[in-house]
Amino acid sequence: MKKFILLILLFGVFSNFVDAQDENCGVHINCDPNREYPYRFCDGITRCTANPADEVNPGVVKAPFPVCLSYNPDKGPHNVMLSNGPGLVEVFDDSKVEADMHCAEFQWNCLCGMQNADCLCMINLVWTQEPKDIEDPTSRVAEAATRWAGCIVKCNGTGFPPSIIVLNNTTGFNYPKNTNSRRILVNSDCEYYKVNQNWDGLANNTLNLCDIITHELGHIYGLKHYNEKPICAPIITLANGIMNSNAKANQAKRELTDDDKCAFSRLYCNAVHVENSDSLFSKIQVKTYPTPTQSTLNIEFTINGVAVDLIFQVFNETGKLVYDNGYYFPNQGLNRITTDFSFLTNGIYYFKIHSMKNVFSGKFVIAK
Amino acid sequence: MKLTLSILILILALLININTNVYSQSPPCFPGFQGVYYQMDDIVNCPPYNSNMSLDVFIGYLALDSLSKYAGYNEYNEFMNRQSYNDTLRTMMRYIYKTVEYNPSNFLCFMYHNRYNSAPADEYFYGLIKNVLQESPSPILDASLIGSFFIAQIHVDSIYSYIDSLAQIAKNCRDVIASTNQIFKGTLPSYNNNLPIIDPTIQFTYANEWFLQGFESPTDTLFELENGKSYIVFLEYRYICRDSSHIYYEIFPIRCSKSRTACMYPIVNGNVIDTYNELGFGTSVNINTFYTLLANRINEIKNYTP
Repeated sequence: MKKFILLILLFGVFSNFVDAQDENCGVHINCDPNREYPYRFCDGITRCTANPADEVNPGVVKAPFPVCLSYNPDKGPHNVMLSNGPGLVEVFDDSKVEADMHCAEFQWNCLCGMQNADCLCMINLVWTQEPKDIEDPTSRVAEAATRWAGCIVKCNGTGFPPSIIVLNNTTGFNYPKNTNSRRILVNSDCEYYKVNQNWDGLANNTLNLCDIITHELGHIYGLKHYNEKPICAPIITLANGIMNSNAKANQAKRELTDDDKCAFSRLYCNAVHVENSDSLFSKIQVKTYPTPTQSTLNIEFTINGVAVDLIFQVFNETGKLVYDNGYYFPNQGLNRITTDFSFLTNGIYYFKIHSMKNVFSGKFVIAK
Repeated sequence: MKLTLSILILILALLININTNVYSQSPPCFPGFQGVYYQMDDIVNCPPYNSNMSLDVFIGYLALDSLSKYAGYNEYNEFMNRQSYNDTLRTMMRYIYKTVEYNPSNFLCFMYHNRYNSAPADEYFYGLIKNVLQESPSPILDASLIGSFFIAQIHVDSIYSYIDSLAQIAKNCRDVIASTNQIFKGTLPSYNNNLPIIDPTIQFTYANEWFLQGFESPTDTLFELENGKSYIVFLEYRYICRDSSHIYYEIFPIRCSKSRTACMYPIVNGNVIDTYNELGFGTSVNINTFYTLLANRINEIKNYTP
């Protein structure tokens, strides 16, 4: 009887947990309407757009939504050769791999309130020891082999070859930090998978498996790296998004940033209410005048807290840096940057003023 | 004397035959590996500086080594994203081209050992190729020149097809044995550094699946080499594994330059066929003109001064 009550209690706690997770799904997302994100278009080229759902000819490559991941334990890694470490070790626990796949699925599905929907596309998750399977097997943790037909991702293992997410288990993937290390994927709770935690090499070289799968699943959905060209406007290279190309070691599972949420929801759930961001743009009052301008532009901004060194840069529409003033040393209170841009040709330009931690940006027009 | 020499040559030939006939063998550090592999002695000094290398090669290694030890890849990436096809990028192209060309095997070795640094050199190497692809007016040509370890005109002598049972994607593989007619970059790799090369042949592997880019279009078709035909190929070395004294690697057509034919261009009736004009020399170019254009571009890269 006691066991029965305990089970009921546990079920109740679990249900509350699920409900609590679901409560945050499909709710309003704060997006800057002017902010563009990079997407894979149907002609294979990556472009920036603020309205991916409106793109046609070529459109953005989409996957039938939602996507589910499948994993064949027979093709899992199980044993990984840590060539400079303790040798052959059993790394993964199948049940935990399943949990991290669901973690990744949930992160994206939840944004559009589709966390309980039936999946429309199955993508296999595999580990490979064969360097031929990965374009850059020495440094890449994983790759999404996104293949599509008619601008829709080839799902369910069909096609030659099918769309697939490949995790690097080649012997060459064996860095960094020191000679006793290899990057190891861990589960969402940062548990090591059946690996002796006392082995020195592990401590500084773990990657979160849910994050890695979420990132690759983002590619399947059509999202591209934020920190590679084309750099979208306003510049978002400093965004700490899951779609940045560099995996971060030694961190617990990351939450999706506003950038991740906006990039995805604009493509898959445009009906979700999107409102202006309550971000640095509104917290720091930036004023540019005159705009359009023929040559001289004034940018005014107020710093209420401690003034820190700033960098002022201007980019053209393709994201190329056209002006870099180096460090700017502002005062507390009102600041004005007056710059002669007569060397620029007519067009829309984006400026970025950033410190080590914060960035605020805007655009102006040159019309001569 | 003649007999001794003959026996010696016979032994060498036998050794080479055994060593190069690797279809059913695997490197000792990778049981089950299928395909052609090469073996080289591990380098003792890393970076592999020596007094014979040119200043540009020295600087190339020094820069990669310093970046990997002291720079952060994110900062480097941001810096590179701000570069156009400018002096900075073109100077980097010069250094890296010469560094790879000087001794491709040592460069591969260096990249392997350097991977233990916080930001491994291979990330900078492949990052530079990505930048070249984005900025160069001849993106595929320049990325292929910079990224290749070996560029040559080859004549295909035999092709061995097999299914790689270990692979998850690249299953339909071809091992190619080809004689080399003209080498533009690099030197013929020897199976074992200690053995002389008797025939100017090279063996490399490619997989059908690489040519399927994803989008369904007339280009979304397989590309196959054919026996008895000649090609211009851009090849790269790929690390497989290592044991206590050797590094094992394989040779692929270069993959990072995004060529739709993996940078393999057939020569038909004395013309180089580049169906998609990826190299910018035209879709069908006389072989001698092609030689000249390619050599000119290589010279421009190697001799660039801001």
